[in-house]
Amino acid sequence: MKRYFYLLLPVLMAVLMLGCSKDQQQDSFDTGRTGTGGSLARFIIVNNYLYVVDDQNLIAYDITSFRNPKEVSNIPIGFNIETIYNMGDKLFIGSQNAMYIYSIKNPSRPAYEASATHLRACDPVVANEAYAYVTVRSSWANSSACGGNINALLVYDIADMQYPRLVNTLEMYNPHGLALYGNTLYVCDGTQGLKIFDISDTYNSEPQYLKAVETSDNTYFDCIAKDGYLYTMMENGFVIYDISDPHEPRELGKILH
Amino acid sequence: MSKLCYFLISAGMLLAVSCNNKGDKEVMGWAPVYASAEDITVQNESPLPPIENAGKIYIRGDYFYQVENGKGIHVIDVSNKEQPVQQAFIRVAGAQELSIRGNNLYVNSFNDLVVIDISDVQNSREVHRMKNTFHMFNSTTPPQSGYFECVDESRGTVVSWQQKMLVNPKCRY
Repeated sequence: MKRYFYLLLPVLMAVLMLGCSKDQQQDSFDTGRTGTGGSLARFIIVNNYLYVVDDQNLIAYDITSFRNPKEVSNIPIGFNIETIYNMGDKLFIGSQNAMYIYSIKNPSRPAYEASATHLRACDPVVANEAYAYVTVRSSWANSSACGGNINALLVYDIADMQYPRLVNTLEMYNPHGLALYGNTLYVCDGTQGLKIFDISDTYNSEPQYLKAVETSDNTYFDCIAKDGYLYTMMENGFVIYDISDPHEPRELGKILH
Repeated sequence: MSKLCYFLISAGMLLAVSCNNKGDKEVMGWAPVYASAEDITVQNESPLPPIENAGKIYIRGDYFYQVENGKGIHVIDVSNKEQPVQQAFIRVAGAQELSIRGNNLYVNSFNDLVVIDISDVQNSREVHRMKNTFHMFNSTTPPQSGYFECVDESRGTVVSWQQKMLVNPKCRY
């Protein structure tokens, strides 16, 4: 009997500790799952770090201790910085006149790799191993001050990450955010709808336009493609599409004011 | 009285009136709009407000999040993709961005980085705040160049800017 008691005691203590320090245990039992934001985001979490871009700087916060972020670096990048995207150990940062690529091989110290400037316009970026896709959008009467007069989808060859090469320019209407889903590229082209491109042919840098999808005369601003679903940010809410066939989004639920 | 007299008296009265104005300068400019500490506390709101000024989006598992620009975050249950249901609204003044890890939601409240415990999404609470850690919002100068009413931090947090007629403005951008 005594033997069993001594065996049970540490187990009992562990259970008690679990129950008592709930707050602290929250963090360690927390699987630390992150979610996914859109291409217009200024915040992105990669492993134990939160990366933020404000109008001029890239700031890295160590969030190993979830509730106690610690700023570990703050780097000036340029002016009118707007968006941040992660692919592998790289950050792609969009601004009003350039796309910047930073390495986060050393996650607490992002290091500049390359940049590609373009004519003045607003631009989010998404990328895969072969290409970076950037939409550039110019000022409209009642939208944010982007300046310039170009509206397009730019494709950069990033096989050599240090020398991004502009290889394609596709004219667009009023393009905002974009999303990559395997061999499909979705571009939110304002009131012209959600445009769908096939990018399965990696030797052809030009995305193959398939079609546009529109929902009740609304404006598409951004989209997130994840686990068979596409979530679109609209002018007054959101729509969810089934993309089990990525070329044929099927509208499911929505909340539009 | 002679015409000259009338003229002199009128001119004199005019001068007197304009002298009393003491040469006040009135010009259209910007003025900061302040909020009290209470106004900007993080808390759940009920009843749930509709999505009006639809902001950035975020998905994690069965929950979808959409920013209500400058006001907070809508939390939506999307376990049934055909029927999204609004579950909560977390009021965060100045919100534009969000990201989530574990039970913690990272959001900006103007230029503060705020961490919110969302383990119970209808009873969210702020667990950490790093004040003025980035520059997402201009809290010291107005959106456009020109005269503006100088920022007085003792009056609270600057939450937006409004255009108004300023009298003898001391600041210029």
